[in-house]
Amino acid sequence: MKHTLDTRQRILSTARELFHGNNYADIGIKQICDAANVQKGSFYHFFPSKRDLALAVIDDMADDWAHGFVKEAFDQDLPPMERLDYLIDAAYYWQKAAKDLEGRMPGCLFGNLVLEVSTRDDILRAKLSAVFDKTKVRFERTLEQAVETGAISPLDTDLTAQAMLAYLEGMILLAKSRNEPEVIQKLGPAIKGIRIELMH
Amino acid sequence: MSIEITETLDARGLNCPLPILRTRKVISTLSEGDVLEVTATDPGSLKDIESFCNQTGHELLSSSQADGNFVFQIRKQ
Repeated sequence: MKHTLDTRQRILSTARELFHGNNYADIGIKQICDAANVQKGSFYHFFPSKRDLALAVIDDMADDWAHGFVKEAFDQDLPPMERLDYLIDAAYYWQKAAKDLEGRMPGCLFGNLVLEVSTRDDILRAKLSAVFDKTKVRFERTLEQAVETGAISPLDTDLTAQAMLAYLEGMILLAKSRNEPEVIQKLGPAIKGIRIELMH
Repeated sequence: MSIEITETLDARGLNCPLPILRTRKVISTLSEGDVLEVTATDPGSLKDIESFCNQTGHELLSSSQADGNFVFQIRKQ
């Protein structure tokens, strides 16, 4: 059983790395199997298709984040708006570390996949959209708590949360286009100033 | 003269960006002049802690490496 888990996890980790560093379309199952040192038959036992693998990679990554830096940043013990500083720090240091290692800033795995697959594969697009929605909800809850504690005046938490997510993703994209993680460091703090007023 | 450590943080086994986030959290609870000692295993933490100190103005008093651990002493400014 342990071996089974290891093989599946090895395929997932390898695919995640390959998808993140390259285009999804460019990576073939053979390449993943070779890099993970797994037989093709074994691959298909776990993942009937490349899309199934991609869906699992997205889940795996989202899960890792949820238990890793996202949990750390959206720490309920921190003052609500301060959590956004931690999130920006996480994005910056992550991208910087990857650039230090590879020479290139990889950008957001989810954002990269959206750009690549959303016009070609509705199932993957929907999956990625659901990941963004979950992140949006984290922003929204943070904003609700910030309003409750009086840290900010009432605003449209739903739309502001979406605007913050759009700013975060857009900023990472801009940084990637320049291969400069520092863009995140410079523009990031302004995320706290984003607000969309309630319509009366 | 030895440095008096106010607080320690065990960030071993954590990967970027978690050591930085934890460091930032602990430092925010300290007073100016206090010293935090961070132990990490992520090799990226070498550059990260340096960059964090440059960015925040905290003073990196020392940075050393032994037995696969990276140890940093940071004075809060």
